Amino acid sequence: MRQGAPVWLTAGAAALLVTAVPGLVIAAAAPVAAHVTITHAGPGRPSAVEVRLDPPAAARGGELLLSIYNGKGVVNRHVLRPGADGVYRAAYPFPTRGVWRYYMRFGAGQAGFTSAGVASISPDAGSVDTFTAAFRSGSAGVPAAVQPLGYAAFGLIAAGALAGVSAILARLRRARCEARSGRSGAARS
Amino acid sequence: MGPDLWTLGVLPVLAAGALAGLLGIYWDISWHIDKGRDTLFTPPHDFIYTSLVIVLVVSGYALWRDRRDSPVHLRAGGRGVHAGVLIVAAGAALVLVFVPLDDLWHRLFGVDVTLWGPMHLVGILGLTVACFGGLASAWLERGLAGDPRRGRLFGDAGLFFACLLAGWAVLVVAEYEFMVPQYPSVWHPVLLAALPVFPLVLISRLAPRPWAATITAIGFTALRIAIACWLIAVSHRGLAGNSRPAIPLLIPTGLAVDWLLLRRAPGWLAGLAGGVVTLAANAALIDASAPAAGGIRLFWDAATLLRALGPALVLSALSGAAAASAAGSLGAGGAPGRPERPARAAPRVRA
Repeated sequence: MRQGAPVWLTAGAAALLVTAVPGLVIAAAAPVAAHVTITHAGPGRPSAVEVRLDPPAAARGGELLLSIYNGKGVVNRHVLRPGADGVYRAAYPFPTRGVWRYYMRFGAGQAGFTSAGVASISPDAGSVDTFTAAFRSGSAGVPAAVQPLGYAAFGLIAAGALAGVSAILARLRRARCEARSGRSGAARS
Repeated sequence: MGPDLWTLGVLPVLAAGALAGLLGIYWDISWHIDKGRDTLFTPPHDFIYTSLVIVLVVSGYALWRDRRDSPVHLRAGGRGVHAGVLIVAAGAALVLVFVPLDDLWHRLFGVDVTLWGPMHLVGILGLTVACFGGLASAWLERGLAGDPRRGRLFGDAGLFFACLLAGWAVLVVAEYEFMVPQYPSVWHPVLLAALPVFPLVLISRLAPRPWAATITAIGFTALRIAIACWLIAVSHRGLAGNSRPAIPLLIPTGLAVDWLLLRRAPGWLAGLAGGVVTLAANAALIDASAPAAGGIRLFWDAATLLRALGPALVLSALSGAAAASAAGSLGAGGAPGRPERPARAAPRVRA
């Protein structure tokens, strides 16, 4: 009699949990700011956006989500990787002059850091717009250990659920085997 | 034998509940991105609550009403309990755990909690397990059905649940599809390769119809297009934001999984190949659809793909093996590639 289901499901769950751990590492401590410089190339051409984190190692070399949008349908939203100098760069078009909104975040989940606000954009050729954005922690004052504890609780609950489903499937397999052998035994006699 | 799970209304209501939850969560993410903070009873939340309540009520109702005795009814508490309904009940138990824990998590961290918040994951897992229970129930009922037409109905219900299960599996990467990820990009290819392989390999082994994995992938795509159309429609009424999730390409994966089934490939190999095809197809699709500059751009660069490749392939193989094993437990016994004929299972004779 085979009982592959519990073994495979448990192994799969364990592998998922083990590989999940590195992604849950908590990012830097507050306070963090970003100095944003937007250099415009003129109408019809994308502008060069440069984001320098302060302190530079705040994101520990991780990715930065940078969204700049005008609220009227134009949205620039990329995930940026840091360059060799730890600076994040993107090419975003700004077809209209005026107040644009921005949203930035780095770090994992609730322990990440976010910044949102508005910036005045003048997209004339050669002009440069700059602003400084302050980040706030998403942990809302909750101790840093709470998020990993939450994921540990999820891991336990998920492992329990998968083990339960595996046990049901194993019992079903056993019951079907017994029913089949009972039928063949009855046919022989 | 008493009434089956379709006659009792369990399977259609469960299918509607799983669909409502899926729609509600995508709608809720769109709402959070573009409309900001929400309250307890927003329209997308209502869909999610409906889904949670349906799973709880349906599992309890089925446990109470289904009094049959057959090889797929496991002995528990002195009576037979349908194995598929037991799995739905496991999902319901997770939902019961989810509700207070999610409330606690939101009290700690506020309204803006990531989809991958641990308690959200408990809820998603609960609804996914319930959906898997629906698929298992439909398949087991197919084996109990004496009438071939009834068997086909349950087979097609199984296909529908497989489409929904693929939807729930892919939902996990929704923040990447909306391009608002809160975790490193490397997780997107890893999870997109591994998770949909489970429903596709499972349904290909059960084979309620030939090329079942391909049909499921097409059904999944149609489902996601329907959800996108819904989001567009409600956004015109101010009930959703402008953000739409990217729809992953799973049809080549379904074709690969079905083709490998015809070649009698083991589950892990079907999973591995499915993962590779998903990565290749979606990397090409993402590159082809990316704007030159600006816009909302989801992309996997070479470094991301390289880092993702090892874990993606290992998890895809494990996912395929788990699906094949689950299919074996559900009685996908016949020759690979050939749909099992609906057959009446012998009722257990009471002493």
